[in-house]
Amino acid sequence: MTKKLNILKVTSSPHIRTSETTAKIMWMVSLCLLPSGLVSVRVFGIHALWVMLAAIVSAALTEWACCFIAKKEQTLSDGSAVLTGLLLAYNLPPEAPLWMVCIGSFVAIVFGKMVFGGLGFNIFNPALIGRVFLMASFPVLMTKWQVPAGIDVVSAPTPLAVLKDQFAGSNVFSSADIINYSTRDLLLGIRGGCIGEACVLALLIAAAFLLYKKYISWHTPVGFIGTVALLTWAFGGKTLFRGDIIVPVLSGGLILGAFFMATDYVTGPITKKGKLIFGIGCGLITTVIRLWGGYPEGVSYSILLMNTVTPLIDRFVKPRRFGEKR
Amino acid sequence: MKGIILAVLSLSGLSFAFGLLLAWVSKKFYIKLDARVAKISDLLPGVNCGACGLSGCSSLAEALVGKKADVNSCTVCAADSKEKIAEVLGLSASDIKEIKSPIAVVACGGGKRAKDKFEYRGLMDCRVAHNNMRGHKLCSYACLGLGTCVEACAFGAIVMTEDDIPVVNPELCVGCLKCVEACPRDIIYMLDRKKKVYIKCRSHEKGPQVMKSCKVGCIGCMKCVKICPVKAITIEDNLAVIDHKKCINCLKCVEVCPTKAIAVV
Amino acid sequence: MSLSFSGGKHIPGYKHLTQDLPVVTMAAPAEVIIPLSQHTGAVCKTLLKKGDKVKVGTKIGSSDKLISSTVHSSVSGEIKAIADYNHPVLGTSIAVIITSDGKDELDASIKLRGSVSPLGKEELLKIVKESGIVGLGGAAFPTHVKLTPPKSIDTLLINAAECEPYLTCDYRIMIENPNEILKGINLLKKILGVKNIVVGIEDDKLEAISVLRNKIIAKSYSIKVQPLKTKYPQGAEKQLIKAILDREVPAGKLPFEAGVVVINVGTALALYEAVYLGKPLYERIVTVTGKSLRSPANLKVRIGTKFSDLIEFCHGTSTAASKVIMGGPMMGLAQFSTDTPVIKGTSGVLVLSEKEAPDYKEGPCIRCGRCVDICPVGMLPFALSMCAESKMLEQAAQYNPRDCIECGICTYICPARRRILESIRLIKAVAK
Repeated sequence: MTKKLNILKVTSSPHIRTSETTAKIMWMVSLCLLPSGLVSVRVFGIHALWVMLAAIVSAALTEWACCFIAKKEQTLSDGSAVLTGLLLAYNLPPEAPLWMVCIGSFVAIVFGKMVFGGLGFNIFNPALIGRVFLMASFPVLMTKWQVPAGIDVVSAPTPLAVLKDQFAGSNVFSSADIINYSTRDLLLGIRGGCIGEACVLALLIAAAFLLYKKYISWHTPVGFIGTVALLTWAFGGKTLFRGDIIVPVLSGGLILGAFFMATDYVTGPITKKGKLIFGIGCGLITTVIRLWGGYPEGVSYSILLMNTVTPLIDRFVKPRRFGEKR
Repeated sequence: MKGIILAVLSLSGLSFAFGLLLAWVSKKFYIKLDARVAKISDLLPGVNCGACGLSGCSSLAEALVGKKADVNSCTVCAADSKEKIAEVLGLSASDIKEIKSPIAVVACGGGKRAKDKFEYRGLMDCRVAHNNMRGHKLCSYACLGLGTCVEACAFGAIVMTEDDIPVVNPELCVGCLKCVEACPRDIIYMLDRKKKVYIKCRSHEKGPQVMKSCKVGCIGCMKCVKICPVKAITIEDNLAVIDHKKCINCLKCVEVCPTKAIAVV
Repeated sequence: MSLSFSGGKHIPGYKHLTQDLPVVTMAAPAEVIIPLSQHTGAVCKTLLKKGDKVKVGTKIGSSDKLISSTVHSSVSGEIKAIADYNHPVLGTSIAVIITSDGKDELDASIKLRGSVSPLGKEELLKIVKESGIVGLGGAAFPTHVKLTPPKSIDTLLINAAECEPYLTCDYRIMIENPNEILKGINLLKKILGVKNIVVGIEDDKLEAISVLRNKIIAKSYSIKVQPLKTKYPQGAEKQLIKAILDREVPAGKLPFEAGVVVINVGTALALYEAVYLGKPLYERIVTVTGKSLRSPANLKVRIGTKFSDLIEFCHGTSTAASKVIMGGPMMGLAQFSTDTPVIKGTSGVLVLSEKEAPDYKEGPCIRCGRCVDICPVGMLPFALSMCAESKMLEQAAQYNPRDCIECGICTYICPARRRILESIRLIKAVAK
């Protein structure tokens, strides 16, 4: 009856762990992002799928190669490379040439993550590094948008670009007057834009699921979107407090950025209060770029800029010590 | 054109203003430093080992300049740097004495020869392992062999042998006590450089118990006590203890010890 | 309404394994090993020698030091040896090994007290010390020391949270012996001279709450039963005080500085037995549990019974045991052998199979912030683990490692499976 009891394992407490792992979180987020991509394929055509696949495969291959060259343990199974690839694809126009996508993935993984020492040590969101690199290198290809028009692919600007151009010279009061997309179209992704940002509805459902699973906290997105909405409402119109909120919030990569990129664990602050500050900062920079900057869109730059501030936020925003006087 | 001039003017104006600000700040918050402190700091080894009794090399440099420490306090730095330090301080070469620090010795020869109580799977640091059921060795005095002392040594003087026991290289040891502080089992102690012999065991357990857990422990057999010509060895609480003041390095005890628990540096 | 503290998390309890099983008394084993150090504080000196005859409850060790307690024999028989033996906390420790003669005769000193009410505070305290009563929650701090706080206190908290997964021994005694517990609490009240008494119970133990409440109403005692949110570490002393009284005891301070004494519910029962029945602490309730155990149980066992005897009494394991833990899975101690005796602080013996307790592979910290959100004392556990990893042990002091109550919830929650608590222990050991 007595079993070999001398081989008992001795480790210090605790002896049990939660079922959640890094890999599970990463794969789960990737899975949550998929529906939005599938809608984009439906809307923009099959090329969007090739872009997504190219981004994922090249990101995974790059990570594998990095680990192989550095003689480090393979980290592909933690799912972060796939997630980076997917997020990068979501930040690209659906017509992006595949060679460019692969370059983006390579840059994202190598210069966004691996040079810092791999997952957990990077300062900037790797997918955004890839996107910004492509933006700087291939600006024409990166801003060639198509409008879902059935079979024909028609090049057209994104809602925000329209907004910006019109806004500069006209004297309309609100953006709703100049954008011919309805709120319903914006939610369902019937408009020009990046692969991932199109179907806001799918993104919101996925975000709700992640919030429910506590994979992301509400602080960053609420701070981010709230600030953008507030500032565009205040300064986005011809006169103060007359700006339209719906279009600026639902278009551009705001929803994607706020729920899936700014909430990146590694490059964001640790505490909930810090996350709120981070979100507000992102919102501030995004609005400044959108309203007064040179680009129609500022989500990616705002997140990257706030990434640099993360250590500072973490330094000053700390949880209250138990027993410390309030 | 107007724009260019405006930009040039405003930018140069700004840079000039900031330059002034910087200049003012550096003047205002200037901390007066004795140049000698920096010079001596450079000459000291800079490993902050603490062998001098101060917190680090820069504190020693300050103490030297403030005449609160002796040139010979540093047991680590080379003879020529010491001469240069004396020069900076305005001392003569005769003030420099060659001081030999004591060296660390590891008072356990167990390692692989000491039996395990269980397989340890925790963090590979002796200090954690020791707090977990008082270590994974059957002998509660034995070296845990996880290399905490090796990591603690700033001079690379301690290496792990194949037997999982740390060994101190007397050439490299400067007697800074870092390993002594790091060892949770209290089995590293300091030995005068002139002395050759030390007991390589700390177990106060009775002979049969020692034999059960380790092949190389002191079993308190009295052989060394009997053979020592100067009566430097006594058995205290089942463990041989050498009175190093009396020891004459005859090495007779080393030969006679049945478990090889007496070692030569 | 259930009260709580900030931080912490509900973790799967696995209490269903044993919570509906009545306490079974296990017969005295053939041999008991009674360590002379079963409590926080000084080791007892032996009062007897090899070959001496003892009876159940005979005093075998005591100490004249303040922070120490008394140790009693748990069987009748003969002292076989006084030697080093496996110890569930210390690894090895001096113990009295007693062979039972099977007669189970009680020591002459054990007899019912006819009347308890004339006993004064000092007499009661003496009984507490002489009966060897220590905190039965796990830390085994001598109770008589706890009951003589150096400052005046206004509240007595009875800790019945039992937040550790798997353990059900406190829950069982609350259902089976509520009258005795309440009498014990009234004794504590008398000793401490406090008016405000609150029993804190997690709100998943509804039956215990209603049983205690009904008894209190029936006897019209002035004791409050406070439901607490079911989350770990609700039963940690300071978190309990925070939840019930909203007072915070800072790191390094003891509860009495906030005017509180916290006593485990099992200790209250032991006090009742010592005072009313004259019975010293020679047996206790132990939850023997684990999914791989054939028949988990709540057992009343003699102190000094080997873990292997307990496991055998529960018909052994269906799959090979990989870990045997004294206490619960969060703060319990993994044992290297089952040839280890039950001591006063043994609230449970948990057997985990290889599947339940695999070797976890550590990954890099992804800064998800779960450990920070969950830490009940507001630390930055991830930062400490990073410091330990990069060997910046001295720099870790800025993150207040001493605040850590070692509840282990940060390590439990970490998706990267980092050994955060071990790192903090290392930092604490270095900063000694």
